[in-house]
Amino acid sequence: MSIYAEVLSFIETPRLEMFEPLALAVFRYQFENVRVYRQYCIARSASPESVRVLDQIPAVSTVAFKYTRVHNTGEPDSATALTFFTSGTSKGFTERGKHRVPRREVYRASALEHLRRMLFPDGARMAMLALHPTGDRMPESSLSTMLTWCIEHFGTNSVLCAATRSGVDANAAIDFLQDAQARRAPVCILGTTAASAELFESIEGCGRKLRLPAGSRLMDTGGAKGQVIPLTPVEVVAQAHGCLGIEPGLVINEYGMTEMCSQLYDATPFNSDFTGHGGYRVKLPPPWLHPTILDPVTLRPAPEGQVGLIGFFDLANVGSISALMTEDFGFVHDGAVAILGRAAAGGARGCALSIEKFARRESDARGRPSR
Amino acid sequence: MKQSISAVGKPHLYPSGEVQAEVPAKLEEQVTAAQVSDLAARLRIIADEPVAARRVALALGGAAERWRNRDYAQRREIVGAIAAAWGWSEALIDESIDALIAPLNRFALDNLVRSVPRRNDVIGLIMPGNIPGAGIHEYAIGLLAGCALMIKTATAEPFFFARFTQTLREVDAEVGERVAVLNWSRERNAITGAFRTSCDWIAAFGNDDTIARLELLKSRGAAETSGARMLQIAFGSRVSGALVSSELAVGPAAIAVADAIARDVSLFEQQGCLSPHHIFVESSRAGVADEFARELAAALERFAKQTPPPRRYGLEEAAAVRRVRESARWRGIGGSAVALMEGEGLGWTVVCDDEASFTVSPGYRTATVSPFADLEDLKRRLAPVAGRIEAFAIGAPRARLESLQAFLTALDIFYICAPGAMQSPPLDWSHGGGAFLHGLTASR
Repeated sequence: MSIYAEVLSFIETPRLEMFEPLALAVFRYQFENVRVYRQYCIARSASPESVRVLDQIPAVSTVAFKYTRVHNTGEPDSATALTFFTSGTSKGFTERGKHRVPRREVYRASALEHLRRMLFPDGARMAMLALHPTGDRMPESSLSTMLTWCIEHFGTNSVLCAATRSGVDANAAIDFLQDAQARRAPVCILGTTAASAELFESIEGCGRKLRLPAGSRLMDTGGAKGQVIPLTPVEVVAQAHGCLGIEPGLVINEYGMTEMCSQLYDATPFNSDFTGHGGYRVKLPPPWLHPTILDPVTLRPAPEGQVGLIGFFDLANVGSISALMTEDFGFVHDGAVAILGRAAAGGARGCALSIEKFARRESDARGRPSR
Repeated sequence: MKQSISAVGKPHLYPSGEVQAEVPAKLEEQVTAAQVSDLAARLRIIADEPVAARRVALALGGAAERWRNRDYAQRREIVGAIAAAWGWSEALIDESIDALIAPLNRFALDNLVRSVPRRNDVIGLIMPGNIPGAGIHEYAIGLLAGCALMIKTATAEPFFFARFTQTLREVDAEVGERVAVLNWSRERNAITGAFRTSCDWIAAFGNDDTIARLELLKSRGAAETSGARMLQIAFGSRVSGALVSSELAVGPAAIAVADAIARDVSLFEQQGCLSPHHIFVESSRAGVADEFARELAAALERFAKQTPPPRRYGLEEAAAVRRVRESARWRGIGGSAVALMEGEGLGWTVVCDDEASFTVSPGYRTATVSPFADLEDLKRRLAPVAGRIEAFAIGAPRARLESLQAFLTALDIFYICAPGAMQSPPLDWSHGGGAFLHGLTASR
């Protein structure tokens, strides 16, 4: 059985006791086949011989995907391979991260299995409204590809993609939602938090009130990225309820990134027994994604509950690099992840910051992982 | 570690840096807006009673002399408090305070007596919280000018000026009484408003949201309705760098230059406007900057042996250094002309980047080294921080200093010094372009 088949099998039938042995096997495979990862591991004195447990597998910063070619020499180019680029909002196209996924079936299985658990635990199929371009419109976007799979798998034949590369057609989206409301057909709205914010603003602006049928839901992702005045997660939930009538438990934020084939979703009473932690929502990973918190000073795993940089070992990343270190802060509690924000890039220092900068700092929203 | 993370969080094992229990002379809970106004009124009476500048100079020199003694009780107290609150090593704080106090010598003070304009203002100084003692130059100049000072210390650094002023009072009670040191939290707008309207003018330094709140109060017209004379100086964001000429970039000479620059980089954990972020190496051939970067790395390691890096970091601070390292590491692995050198933990970091323009560091002994072909190339590389460069160190043979200095001066860099001297600017240093000195000469 190939390593890909083993991972697929785990995704389809997770056996938690097999996670670590499989992770070590994936590490061995990646050490042998991904040259830049091998180079990094050797520099950190880590090899398949020395690494005995999951925590010893060196995690790679997600910036690696921006600056290097994470090429798997064990996987020849094939028609089923996928290549995704990060949105590259801060540094332009030249510094966009690139993630090549040699086996699309692994990514698809990972995305759909966890979507089923977190967004469609009731087994419903429904009308789909995409507020982000779907894969046919933006094939280089991992989010777009995931939305397409979601629509294909969980949607009915009532589908609208109300977004292009240039923006969201809020009027078309509202018309679609009004039609669904009239037909009493539940709708699943999929897109970025920024696009959701735009929709809310348009609904409020035109004075139209929507009350979507029970069971309607919203999946947003991306956090503050792309928003001038970012909505907080609490505001997204409140506005989805206020503008669309969606129950708070069915407003589910996704955490994902181009560099990772697995995603995490908000735990709500709709999809889990988790009730949040410390007054805010936590996110649940799928069984094939192991979250860990890394001490930014030592890069060693931090104890449960300690805040640090969020890292993952993602079996679904078997074709590239599975052990990742993000630039997001968070902590892990009972296997759930609380995401607290993005580590800031270095900025100008001095005896003082200018007054404009003080003002800016107040509203300096931290974006979510780029995808 | 001076700030908690800004995002919602529960920083369990990374303490937030709150230092309430260790604040000496802390008045936060006691002080009220009325008391600030009363204090300002008392300072105004004192300011109207002239004191000889030479006497002030003697008092300042005497206080500084006590502070030069590392065993001086007041100094030990604040070194211990800052080390406990921020996680910096005591050795590093001691080295930094030595550098801070160095310009406050009797010779320099006497010189300043002759040049400083005479005023009798009540000046409000909002001190920064990024490094201990920043603002000491303005403190000295204001007193020498004959003014009284009302100082609002930063929540993150309430230590230094409270204790230094105590020493000043011990040396000369009458001079010391011309200074009041207060601390209150930024949320207390009424006190900030009273401070703002009670002083003749305010110079605000530092990474302190109080500045923003002052601006807010100003925009609401609080000052305008008070009838107070106002001149507010807010120092902008500033960074520093260094330049090494080809003659001193390699060989035995490079070691001394690297040691001196390593000291400039390390003092105050690179948190001040006088900390070099980027070192530019004149390179007539490939590899010169890389060689110097290795010398600098070795020098930072030597300096770290004597003055250890922080025992702990704030989460955002650590993540920012980590980000620099990982970006450099992977750019290098990816084939870019970038080399990363790193000390144990996050102790020090050197990134040699052949193509980089001026790169702002996250601090904590993190420096970029790049080559430059000629002065036009250097000017191009400095463009991202044009107008915001506070200081530059020049490591070059004497014969070349004048032309290099002229080049940097033309870029509006006012403090140009030898490597190793960056953290001890002269008392008449044109900090932020000399805004404070201009404030003293402004007509009101």
